[in-house]
Amino acid sequence: MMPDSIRLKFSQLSKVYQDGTRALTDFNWELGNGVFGLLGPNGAGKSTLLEILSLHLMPSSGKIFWNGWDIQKKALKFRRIIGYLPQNYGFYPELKATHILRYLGRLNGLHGKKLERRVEEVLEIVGLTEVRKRKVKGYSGGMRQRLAIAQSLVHSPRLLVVDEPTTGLDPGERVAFRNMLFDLGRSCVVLLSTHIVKDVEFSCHQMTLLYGGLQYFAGQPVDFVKRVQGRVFELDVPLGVFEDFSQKHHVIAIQESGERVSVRFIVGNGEGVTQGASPVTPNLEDAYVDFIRERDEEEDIGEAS
Amino acid sequence: MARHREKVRMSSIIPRKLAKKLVLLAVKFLPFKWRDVLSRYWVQTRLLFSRTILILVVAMFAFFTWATIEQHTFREQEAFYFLMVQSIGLGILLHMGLWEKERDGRTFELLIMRIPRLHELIWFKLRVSLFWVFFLSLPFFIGYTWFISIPVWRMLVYLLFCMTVSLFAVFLTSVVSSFVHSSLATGIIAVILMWVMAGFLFNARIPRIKYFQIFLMPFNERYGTFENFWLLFLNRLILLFIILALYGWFYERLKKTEKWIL
Repeated sequence: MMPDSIRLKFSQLSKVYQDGTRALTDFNWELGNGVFGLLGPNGAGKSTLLEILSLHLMPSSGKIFWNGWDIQKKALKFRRIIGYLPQNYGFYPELKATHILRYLGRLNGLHGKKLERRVEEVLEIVGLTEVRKRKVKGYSGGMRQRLAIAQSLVHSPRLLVVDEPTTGLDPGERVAFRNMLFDLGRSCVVLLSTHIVKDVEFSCHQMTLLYGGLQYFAGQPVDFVKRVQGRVFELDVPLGVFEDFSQKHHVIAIQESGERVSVRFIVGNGEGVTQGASPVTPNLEDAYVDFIRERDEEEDIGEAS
Repeated sequence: MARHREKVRMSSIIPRKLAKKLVLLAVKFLPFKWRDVLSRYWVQTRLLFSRTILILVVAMFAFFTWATIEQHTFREQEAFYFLMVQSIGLGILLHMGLWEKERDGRTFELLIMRIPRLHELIWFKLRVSLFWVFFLSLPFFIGYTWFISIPVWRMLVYLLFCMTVSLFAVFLTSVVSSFVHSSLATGIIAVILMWVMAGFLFNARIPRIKYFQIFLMPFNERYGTFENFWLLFLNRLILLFIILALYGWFYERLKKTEKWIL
């Protein structure tokens, strides 16, 4: 699904740090309303991209446009539009959720009854209404994460940027969080940066893949999955031969049951399939793991030569 | 939740519910604009006064009251240096953890996203803390009989002198805190730096050093009125330039936000 109308556009964006590290090279992407995934391993350049988008860092070259205007030139205006949930953040532990949201909402320019109404609304959205009068130091990890989302929504942003938001959440909270992002994506642009593939698979309309500062893919997750179409298999192998099997094949997942191991693996292009293996429908994680393996191998060859 | 309910609360002279009702009643009649301002000040004040800081401020009050009585410093000329030291002490105490709390509490990024201009961010934090430095300095001054018996303009000069020195201590502490991660270490380093600088400028036998003195008595009997005016004027002007330079340095440190946050 292509975005209805382009709202956020990255154009030839690059960042080279003072020590010469090239963190991002010629990044291009166009986003409309919906949830967009930014996927890549640690050190891929995701955080650099978000830091530039949130105006904490200046790009070395390239531009970012919001509704056609350069965000660097209208930084103040852009700050009113963006809601940002950083990867590492904190709250004032002695304050209650309502106090924190009112305080941050006021800094966003909200006042009076409008602010009160909005605070109640966002608490409802993230499901913290019942514990709104409890001090933050008594919150669980999941509750803090929800409060973090609430603070990024309090000023009704039209662009929501979330950096590794599901880290530390339990499976139930993670699912609830994905659903919440999906709902938000109906009315604004949500940019989700993560290295958790399932988050992208289940909540994003479109994704882009970064590795070593380079952009390797931009499109729908299903299109990226096509790279491993017909190459993912499952096979039950005896526990005794598993080690030998795992050295010959690219194993993605294993499940041990007694003396046997159920293995999910990918075969390379043109490689023969082990007898008895049954093909399975690939998912985004398969494609991602295959991609990372390919890049790592390329890097190894490059270093060796 | 159960553990929460069982928590023992300290008793208060005013019943908790009554206090809450009184505050709500008082706030109800305020326009929204004022409520917002008050609320912002209240949050900042809560962040400023941790239990440790409160204890240290009270301890400082107690120490200086005891020292004043012990040293019999009830005369203007002697007591003024005490007042300066107290103002510096308050400036350092209230600012040694001000930025560390935001940085280590990881709340800095949340603020930066909302207050786009760094100058605004600095003053947003400082206007509350500086208000408290001024407000808490007043009891020290008013405690002296000579202070409340002198003309108002003379009072203001004394206050101005102490506050400029305190402002210098505030920015020195802020600069130190941008290099040091612990608030206690920040406080100790700032005290040492102030001590060394003030001591050197006070005791050094260098021509025209008096223009750079931090501890300068505004009404010095050794100089004539005209000479005294220019000395005071130039001395405070130089101090203000130094404060501006410290502010600029702090601003530049803050600009490198990634170094602060990481």
